[in-house]
Amino acid sequence: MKATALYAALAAITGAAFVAALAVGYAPLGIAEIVGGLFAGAGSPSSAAIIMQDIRLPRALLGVLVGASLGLSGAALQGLLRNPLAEPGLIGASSMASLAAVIAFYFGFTALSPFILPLAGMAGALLAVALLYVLAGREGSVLTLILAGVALTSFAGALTALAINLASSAYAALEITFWLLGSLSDRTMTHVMLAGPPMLLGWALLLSCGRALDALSLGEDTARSLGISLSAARLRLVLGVALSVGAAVSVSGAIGFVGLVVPHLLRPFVGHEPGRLLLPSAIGGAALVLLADIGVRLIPALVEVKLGVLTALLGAPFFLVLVLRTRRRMG
Amino acid sequence: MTLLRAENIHMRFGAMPVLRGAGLEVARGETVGLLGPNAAGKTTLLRVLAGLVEAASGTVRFDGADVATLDAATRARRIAYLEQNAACHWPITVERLVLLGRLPHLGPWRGLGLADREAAARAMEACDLSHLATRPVTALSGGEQARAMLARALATGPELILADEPVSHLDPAHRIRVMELMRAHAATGGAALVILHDLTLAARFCDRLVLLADGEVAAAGPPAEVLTPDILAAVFGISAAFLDEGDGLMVVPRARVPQGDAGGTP
Repeated sequence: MKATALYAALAAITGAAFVAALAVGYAPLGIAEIVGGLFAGAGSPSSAAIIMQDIRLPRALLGVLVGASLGLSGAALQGLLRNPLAEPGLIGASSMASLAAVIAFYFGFTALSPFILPLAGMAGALLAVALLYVLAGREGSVLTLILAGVALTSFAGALTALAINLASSAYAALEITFWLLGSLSDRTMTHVMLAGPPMLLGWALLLSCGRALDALSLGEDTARSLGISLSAARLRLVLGVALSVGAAVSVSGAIGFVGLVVPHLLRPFVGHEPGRLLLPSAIGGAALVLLADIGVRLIPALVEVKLGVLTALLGAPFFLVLVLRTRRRMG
Repeated sequence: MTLLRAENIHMRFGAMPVLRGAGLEVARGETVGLLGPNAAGKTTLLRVLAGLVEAASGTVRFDGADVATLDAATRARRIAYLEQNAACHWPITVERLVLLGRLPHLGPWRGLGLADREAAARAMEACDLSHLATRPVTALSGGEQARAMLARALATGPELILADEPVSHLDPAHRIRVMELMRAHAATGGAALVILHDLTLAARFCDRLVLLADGEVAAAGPPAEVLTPDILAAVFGISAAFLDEGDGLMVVPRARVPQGDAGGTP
């Protein structure tokens, strides 16, 4: 498929999903109310304006931002590690961001200001990156990087479990657990404004690494012999993942498998080239999270199924199939 | 004219010395074979020469300039490095793989142009790959993959090719083809330094040989001076048959012999 056709198809799907995300919700609104509510002036008292501008629009925008961050980070990490099974959670950024957010919950800091939670998430992801650099070193091999990521993930998981274990009340434990499940409901434009800038910065860092990732297809020595500075590329990639995923986790909780599924589905359309996979994975990630978030609103259940639960239910079997196919190819 | 000159290279991995004062020269127009037993330090020396690792001590000068001070893009355009058992981790097409050899020529905002595509097409033609251009590289045989990697190096249009066992997975005809390509590259003003284990190929296609043993140069010079019974016995611990039907030396390993203490591995 030609690149323009791929982008056109992805943009059409994402655009349609965005419109659908605005149209679908618990309050039954007609088309006139949706459009009217969306474009009503600030402070308009109509309930349609409140629903569209304060509930559905931020939710859809966050779906785009979070999905693009996860898809792009997944594609970038798979290119860096030359492994189709890599995932943003792999380097520990997601779980450390979750841990930092949970700590903010646990000590009640989140009540102080709406800024606390996003800031904690990014701090957690950046701490993960800093620790990763101490553990794996600047010249560390991919294997060291993966093992350090596994160690960080386990450590963050243990501390998160400890926080739930020691929670002062059942309600606090439930709040933490629900947040960890991952969701885009009840988010505001403040979340969009807080998470957007670091995500965009992260995207720019990741998208600048296309050629380094292409060269890395041939291994580290050959990439360096082609004039690629691996230490610089690695720094940009890890920082880019930390910024975009840290910000994403802090506003949505952990939404797994998007970074795994999207690059895998799109890879055949870009000739399996890691550099050309980056931008389509960002757009595809946005589409997938928007569609999944429409899905949780359409599933008839007494309480809304959390977005992270749905992506895990769909993503985990996909991951298993991928592992089996990879093993068959290697063996 | 000397293109590459390495002197007194020392290198150790942990406490184990790998290179102990090795040095060599490659002149423009030359195809030089780098020979030696396993673990003699050939690959390490080649990586030092390519600027991929820094030696503990010693100098590597490329066209008069210290290799370490060349900026990465310039070095990548002028020196191509062909990794041992080079593999591609994704099933990209042969053409796109060969085009990766043009990366050092691309500016930060410039994509592939006509000149890049022509260079890649010439390299694929030379390596007998044109009919495989659209095939995924991972679906090729080992020999075809090795040729694709060589085409990638040729597509860069380098002055010096540093190749680590480029013929080890090839059938006899393609081994000869690869060595012919190295010679053709050298004949156009470039140079090639090739790690080889095939003594006959080394004797017939290289202008000079450098024989490495235990991180030191055990012998260097024209093939007939390096591939002698005494040196082969001391360094490789083998006896060999030497044949010459008037069109170049052939060296066929015959049997292992007890090794002397003249630099051979135990």
